[in-house]
Amino acid sequence: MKHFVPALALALALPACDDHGHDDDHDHGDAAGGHAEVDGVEVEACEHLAEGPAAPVVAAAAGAAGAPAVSDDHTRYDITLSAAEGGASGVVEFASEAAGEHSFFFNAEVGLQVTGPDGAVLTADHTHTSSTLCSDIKLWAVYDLDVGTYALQLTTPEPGTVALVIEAGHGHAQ
Amino acid sequence: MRRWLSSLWFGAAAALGGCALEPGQPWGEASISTQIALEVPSDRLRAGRVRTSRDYAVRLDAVEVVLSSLELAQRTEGRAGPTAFDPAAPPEAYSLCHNGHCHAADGRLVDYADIEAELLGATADGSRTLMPIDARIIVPLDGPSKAVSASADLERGALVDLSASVGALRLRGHVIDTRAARRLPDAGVDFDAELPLTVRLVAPLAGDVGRDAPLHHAWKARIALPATLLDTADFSASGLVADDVETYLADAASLTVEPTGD
Repeated sequence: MKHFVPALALALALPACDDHGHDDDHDHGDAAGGHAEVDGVEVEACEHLAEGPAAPVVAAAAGAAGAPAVSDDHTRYDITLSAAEGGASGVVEFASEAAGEHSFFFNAEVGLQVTGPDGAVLTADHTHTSSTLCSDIKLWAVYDLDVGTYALQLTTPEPGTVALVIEAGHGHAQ
Repeated sequence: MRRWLSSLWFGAAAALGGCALEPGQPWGEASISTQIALEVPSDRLRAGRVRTSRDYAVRLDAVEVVLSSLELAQRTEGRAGPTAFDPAAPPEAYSLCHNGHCHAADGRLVDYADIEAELLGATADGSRTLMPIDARIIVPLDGPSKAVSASADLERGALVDLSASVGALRLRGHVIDTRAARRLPDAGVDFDAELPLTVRLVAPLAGDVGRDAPLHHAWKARIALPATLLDTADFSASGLVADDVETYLADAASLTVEPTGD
């Protein structure tokens, strides 16, 4: 709770965060409309990356069965990646319970590949590599998902643990 | 005892001239009409099937619910109501309250409304009126079920909440796999699951039962079962599991109550 109020104050006070390579023509945080939660996505991510609650998971090797589940349940998943060719990698699964945009926040600049249930690799709607609200966000990738289970393949230069918070929605502070 | 008290009150009322009670009447009468509905989010429907987050597409042919009972809880006359919920100072066992939910000490995410209901329920130190129903209710796929009615006499005291106990759920249908790497035969499989459950849903009530309160209280209750309960099932393995469905419904199903004005 300690981080939340300052983060929210920043969200309201700061100008639009820098655009990291996406066509910013979408709606941001219309408090009077049906998108009131939009600003909260980034605030929530900062909150949960810093404060948890945390759940440790060990990612499965690419191509192996039994990838552990991660969720958009306001939890920080501390994902352990094992050594693989060229660095470290692993796969976790995310079950999308509602169609729409989902934000994946990481505390490291991981390589991220999202694969749908039909086997197709998705392209991110947009990505950011920083946040104006907190220093914990090193990668923020937004994907438009249907209902279903998606495989998230993560790669890093070295074995270790990366933190992930998933939030439904996509917007950021103006 | 209740009848005796009623008679006593009638005597007092006759003397004081302010009470609507008549001889033999209870302090209050409750009648509740309950319907059950299956709620399917629009983004889940594809060609008459419910898409699950595990990538199954389920055609539901029959949904039946056993409604075990209803129970009305009251607060002792004169006792104070619940303390107001303040997210900045949540009750013990809750923390990190923001954006409509708090984190419980046991790891659950709990909505503000549920915490308010919990605070309200903690004040229910008065009489509890059980209305056994034990009805198996057929839930259509395109709207609410037929109403089931129950009634009971009430004791004095403020009305606190109504709870509904669901004792079983039957789901029958056919499921196909939508993943590229199929887990089921291409033609899909039939399923017919009878799931014994113990799910208690609670909704707040308002009003008083007593000397200066209306005699008759009538409500319409609605139990909403989310079709997303199918997310709990891995149809290529254990299928629908009662414990999983019970846990899911305890959090995701809802009971709403509104007075009918009858």
